[in-house]
Amino acid sequence: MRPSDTLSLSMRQLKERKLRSVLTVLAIAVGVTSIIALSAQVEGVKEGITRSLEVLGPDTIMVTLQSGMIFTDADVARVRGLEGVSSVTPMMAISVKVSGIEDRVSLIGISSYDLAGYLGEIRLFDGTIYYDVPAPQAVIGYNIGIDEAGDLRYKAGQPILITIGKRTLSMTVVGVLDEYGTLSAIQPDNSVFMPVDYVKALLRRGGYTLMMVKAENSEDVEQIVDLIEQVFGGRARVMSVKQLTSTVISITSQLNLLLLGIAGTSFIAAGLGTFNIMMISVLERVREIGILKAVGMKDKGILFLYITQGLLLGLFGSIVGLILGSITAYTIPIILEGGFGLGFGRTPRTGLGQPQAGQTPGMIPSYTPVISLTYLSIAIAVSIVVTLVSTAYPAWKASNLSPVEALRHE
Amino acid sequence: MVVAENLSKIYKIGQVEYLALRELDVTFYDEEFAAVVGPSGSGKSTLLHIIGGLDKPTSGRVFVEGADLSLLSSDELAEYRNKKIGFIFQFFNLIQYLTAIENVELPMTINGIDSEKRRSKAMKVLEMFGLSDKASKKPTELSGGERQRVAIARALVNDPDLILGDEPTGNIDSQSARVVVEAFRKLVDEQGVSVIMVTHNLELTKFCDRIIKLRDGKLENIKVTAK
Ligand SMILES: Nc1ncnc2c1ncn2[C@@H]1O[C@H](COP(=O)(O)OP(=O)(O)O)[C@@H](O)[C@H]1O
Ligand SMILES: [Mg+2]
Repeated sequence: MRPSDTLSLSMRQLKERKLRSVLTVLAIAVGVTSIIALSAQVEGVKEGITRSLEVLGPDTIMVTLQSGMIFTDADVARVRGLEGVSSVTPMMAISVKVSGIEDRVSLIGISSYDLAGYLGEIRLFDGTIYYDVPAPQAVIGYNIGIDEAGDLRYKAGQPILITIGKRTLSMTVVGVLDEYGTLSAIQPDNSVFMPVDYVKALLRRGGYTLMMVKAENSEDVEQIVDLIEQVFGGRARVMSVKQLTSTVISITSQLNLLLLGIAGTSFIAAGLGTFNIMMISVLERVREIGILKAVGMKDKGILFLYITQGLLLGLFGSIVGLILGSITAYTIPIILEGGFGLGFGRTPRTGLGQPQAGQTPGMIPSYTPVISLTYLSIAIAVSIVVTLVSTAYPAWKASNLSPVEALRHE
Repeated sequence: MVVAENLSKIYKIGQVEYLALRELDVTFYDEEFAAVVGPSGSGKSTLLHIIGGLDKPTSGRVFVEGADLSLLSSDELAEYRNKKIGFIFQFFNLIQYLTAIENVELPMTINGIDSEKRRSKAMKVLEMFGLSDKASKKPTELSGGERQRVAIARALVNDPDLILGDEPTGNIDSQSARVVVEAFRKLVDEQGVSVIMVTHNLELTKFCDRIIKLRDGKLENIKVTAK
């Protein structure tokens, strides 16, 4: 028999039992969908975090303080003097309220030069960046400048009311940043950036709440972390981008294992379902197999016919799963944001903005799901193997029947 | 020539043994239209299945054109059924989801013949049986007589040397039955095919060359019909 005839005969058989074929395809699709959708979330979070960490660079070390404490210029000078340190950027970050926005946002005092280093590159939606003069000028994040509907809330040149503690002050917006997404330890979209000298004067505090330290050589980062910890004793928390990255990667790979376990379970269920369906379908077709054998189809031909059916089911299941999985993958973050919005996505919740509360930086930021080729191939390969195995056995049994036995079957 | 030698077939159900054929010796000649008759349960179907390579005897041998069927592998038997034999069943055994012409094409499809060639050949055979307008109908849309003619067309399409009919007229009206038997007669006379037909209808045996009667799995007698 020609392969094309085997294929078309298989299709005819599948079409003849439409409902059953559709159910099998769906059973397989569920497995594929769950692998693709779930792994896309984990990969998305991982990639979002690692990319943002890459923006900061592997030579970066963040030094934060416990609530209420500040770094003095002397502290900054001491860190600057440590061996292997290339630069120290002191910053002032406090939690403030902006009129028109419900949640608190971060006010970050930072020089325009350091801001560029901090964001990787400066991308503006509107206006320009401020000069480093102690003036009440602000560059605001995307989520502050643009509301959920996509309309401009503030634009360059407009005043903005900012409440710090009990004081409410009017600043001038000079620029609105583009959307950055979450950069792990910092959420530019939910921050207001101002010249560091102005913020220092404003708060009448002669210090800073965090330092961004760059190492001369990224190999020396661990050593420098140790040195900084020695300098501040237990007062400061020192985190290197390198440590964070490896933590993120190890957490997400564990998550992926867990998700693969879940998806694997659903595949076993799908496999048993397929096996069951193929057994029934072979039993129902025993008479027909008898006819095919009686007119001269070889055992191999019968085997191919059923294996082809299994492969087709696996293929259709994979395609449906691929489509459903992709849709689900991109829907999950929307549901997470919309339904349980607190703490996710657009809601500002950076630890750096709330040094008083001494919280850890938010670890579940908004992210874009990433459908990785690896998990895609795993999903498709597994689904095809599952259907192949579950069709091969009944097909082999069917092909071994004698023609009369098969024909006598009711 | 088909020679059955010392043929026995025992069916075992649990402890009980049923002897369908008991050391049967019988010969069918080339270019002969033979009828096999006998009461129900006498082993007619069993004999035909064994000659057609659809079943194996418990003991004894069948030689077809001198070749011992028991020595053929399962693939060789399949090829034998496909090319040498045209088997016609009492209950048609057509495939429901295929059209009449696709059913007729099936032995050629299995044989790997390309679709154009098999379509034209199948159409030719269907025409022989006056079914060209039913080619694209499913078996469920056809009458019993039409279904059996489709089944016969399927049996003939690979130009077999031997046609085996197991009560091919058992489920069709007498008019259609006559058409079928006359067609067999013509195939034997004009194309030198051999036909072995099991039947209960003694009226139809007058078209045959010899009548072989079985009883209890054994040969009872052979009658040569007067021509
Ligand atoms: N699969 C089977 N299992 C048990 N007994 C069978 C089977 N097939 C046929 N037989 C028995 O073998 C005998 C001959 O059957 P069969 O060849 O079908 O006779 P016929 O076609 O002449 O009616 C019968 O007694 C029948 O009951
Ligand atoms: Mg019978």
